[in-house]
Amino acid sequence: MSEPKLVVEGLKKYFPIRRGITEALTFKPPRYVKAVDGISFEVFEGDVFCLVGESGCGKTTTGRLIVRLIEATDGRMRYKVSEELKNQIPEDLLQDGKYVDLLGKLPKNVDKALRKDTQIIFQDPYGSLNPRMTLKDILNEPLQVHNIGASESERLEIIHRALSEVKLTPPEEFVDRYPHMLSGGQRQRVAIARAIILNPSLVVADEPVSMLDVSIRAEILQLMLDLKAARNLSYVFITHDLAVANYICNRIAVMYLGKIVEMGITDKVIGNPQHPYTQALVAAVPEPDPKNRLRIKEVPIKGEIPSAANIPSGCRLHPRCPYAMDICSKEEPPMVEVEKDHYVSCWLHTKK
Amino acid sequence: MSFIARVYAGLSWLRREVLSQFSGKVAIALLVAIVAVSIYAAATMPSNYNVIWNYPLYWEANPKNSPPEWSTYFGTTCLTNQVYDLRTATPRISVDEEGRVRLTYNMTYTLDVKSYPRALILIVDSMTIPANVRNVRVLNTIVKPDGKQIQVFDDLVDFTKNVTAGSFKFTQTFRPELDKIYNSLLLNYINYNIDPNDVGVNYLSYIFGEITQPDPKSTARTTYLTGRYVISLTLDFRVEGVAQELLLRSIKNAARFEYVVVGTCYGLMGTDYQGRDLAMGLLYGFPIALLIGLGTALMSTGLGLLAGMVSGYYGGFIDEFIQRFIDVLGSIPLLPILILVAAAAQTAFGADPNKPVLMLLTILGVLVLFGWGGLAIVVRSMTLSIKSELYVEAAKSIGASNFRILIKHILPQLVPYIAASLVYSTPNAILTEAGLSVLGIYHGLPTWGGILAEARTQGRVEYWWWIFPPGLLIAITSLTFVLLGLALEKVVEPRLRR
Ligand SMILES: Nc1ncnc2c1ncn2[C@@H]1O[C@H](COP(=O)(O)OP(=O)(O)OP(=O)(O)O)[C@@H](O)[C@H]1O
Ligand code: SF4
Ligand SMILES: [Mg+2]
Repeated sequence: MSEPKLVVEGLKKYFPIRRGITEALTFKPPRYVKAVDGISFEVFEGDVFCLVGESGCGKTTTGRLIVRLIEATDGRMRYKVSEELKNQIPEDLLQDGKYVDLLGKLPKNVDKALRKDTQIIFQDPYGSLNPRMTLKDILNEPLQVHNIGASESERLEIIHRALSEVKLTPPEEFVDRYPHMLSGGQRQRVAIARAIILNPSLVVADEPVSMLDVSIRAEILQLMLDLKAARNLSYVFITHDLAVANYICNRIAVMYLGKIVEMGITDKVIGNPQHPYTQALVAAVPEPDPKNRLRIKEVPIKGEIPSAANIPSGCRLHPRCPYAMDICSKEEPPMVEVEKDHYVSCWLHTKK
Repeated sequence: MSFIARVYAGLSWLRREVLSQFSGKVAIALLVAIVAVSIYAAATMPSNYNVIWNYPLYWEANPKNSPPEWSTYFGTTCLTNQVYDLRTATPRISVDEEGRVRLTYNMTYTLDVKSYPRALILIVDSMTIPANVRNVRVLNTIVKPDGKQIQVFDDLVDFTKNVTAGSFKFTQTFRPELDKIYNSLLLNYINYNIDPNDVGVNYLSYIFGEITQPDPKSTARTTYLTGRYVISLTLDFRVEGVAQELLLRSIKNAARFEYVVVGTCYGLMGTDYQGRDLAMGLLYGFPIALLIGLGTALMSTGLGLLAGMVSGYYGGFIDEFIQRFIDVLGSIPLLPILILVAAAAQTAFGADPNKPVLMLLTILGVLVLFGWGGLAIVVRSMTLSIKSELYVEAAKSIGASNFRILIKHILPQLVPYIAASLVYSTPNAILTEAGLSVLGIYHGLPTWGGILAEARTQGRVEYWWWIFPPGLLIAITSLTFVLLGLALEKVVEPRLRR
């Protein structure tokens, strides 16, 4: 088995809530939105690791933490560096000879090199491309920032290659276009080209197809899988669509209110969900087989997801969980391995 | 290359958009005219213009408070200013046996309207007097159309005390001498009761008028006398050794050597209380106004842009600091501050020869200091919203520096807005400077506001040629920029377009 590319331990992100004047004057303690509240997982080399969950459960925040767009409140994020990158990193930053803690203090050049190695594809291809830049400018930016290509013409060559790789051909026809001259799918291809043009080894894809027309989703997903195979990438793939996750991921983590509730090999988690929340998610997926349609209502989950600013005590699901017990509202359930490569955090599965 | 091409494409797009609106067309036409005049004025402006403007001798031969010459078409009796440049005239030369060199200039002056000239004056400016010239006698007589001859002045200037080492520069103005005039009147008009007091006040009417006395007991009176006058000026040099050539050359090379029959109208735009040519002041006011307006607008826009971008992008303490600073600035009333600062500057720069420039710079400095806050607030909020755009995050995840993001992603979006704001704020400084000048905070530079301010303190209501043109120019220039700003704003903010 391959080695973990990324080891996340106890990762937290709390966003402070702006206090009102009365709160500030009465010295109430500052309140936080606990968007990500202590999650741990491993992404292995060559993995497509999925993060699934309802809206607002902290998937995007996790993704942005991984590519360090925001600073973590707490936790560790160890990243395995490639052989060539290793030379640029001082000895004392390396753990086990190949891991760097992305959340630690990094020298500027190391930080830049690591940013080059981890890229992100955003959910919204309409917002992620500057409308005032041509595709050439958009794809040139990463090259300029990292001083890739000796000359403008050499860079143009790299840009052409990247465009061909994402099937925007012939590239000459696309380089001078502005984003508004492209369809949503084409835009997302540009965003993908921008992510891979720096030759990263880990790409975070935040719901890359959820804003696209259903007819082209499969194409884009296939493109991503092709690129992964061709370039030896690892993906952290964020989605709220279990069908997509089932199609693309080999490992999956289900999040609920900033916590991972179930995690493991995709087939095991989706095929045999153990956590009541996962069971509800799986049940909500429309069954192609009409005979099985009735199963949808088997695990009813009551009500709405609570706000991340106001997290229930104990197991976060307990106000909505049909199996809730006394202990559920008092203590948080630990993560236990229910079978090989299948972990669940629920008191139902903890042998007391 | 492609960058230049893109800028050019952007500009031509902007021009097309602006020109597609009526206000834009008017604004561009006016702007082109203003800029063209400014360039012409700046190119022809004498380098010591500021000094000339405040140097009374330079304007001495001009009529004071005079309307422009074309006002004659609106019923004003106009006597044009007649200047005889004697440097280029050929004098009659005679040398007597004692070595005196006598130069005689004869000028004809045709008085064709019923009016008297305002003054007579001979100006000698920086005429090199050779070392061996001991003195000069300057003699001026006028022969009236009726043949009567009046002596205007007769002066003997002694050079012996000046000419110590070699030559020296001779500068003097000669004016009519009342006793000489009175004496020649007595000689010419025997049996007339000429009142010496009246000659003292209205001597020009005795020189350029017909003197009548209906009966022997009454006093003599004057009426207009049109016709041909012969003015003759004699310079009688006492020279040791003949140096005729040298003298003629130094006359040619004098800065000024003019005989002026001062009229009642002057030039294209008239004159002010010191006889200064308002056409000159107004013309050279163009580049000065543009400089004041654009300079101040550029600086306050630049400051606002910088502060707004830093404030919005970096946030935190620096943002808080800048915003509170703007609040403080905004709560200070500008006008009292300007008056205070200007009063302080008035005394502080009291002795400095560059006081007018320093005063103006101080006023503009205060305007800049107080002028950037509003823009900074708008730029900050725009920066805040652009900063959270996904493509900025994308650039960050690539590893782009803050500076790169500010320049490549944020600034280009602010540029159209900044351009409109720049254009809009250009008239601010021009108007404020004019307003302050009129309020008495006057720096002494020949700006339109300065001319207007002096019209208020030194002029009278009926001096329309002095009051309206600068006011009108200020208004038109401001209007140009406001119209342009309006047109630009509609381009920048498409929601305003109908
Ligand atoms: N910059 C921020 N400041 C404050 N709160 C934030 C910020 N970003 C996210 N949050 C909050 O953190 C929580 C998690 O947000 P996140 O965007 O990670 O959810 P998500 O799982 O990606 O949801 P979706 O499926 O809707 O994209 C939400 O409650 C959100 O309001
Ligand atoms: S711990 Fe309790 S409340 Fe939470 S999911 Fe399991 S049974 Fe439901
Ligand atoms: Mg999200």
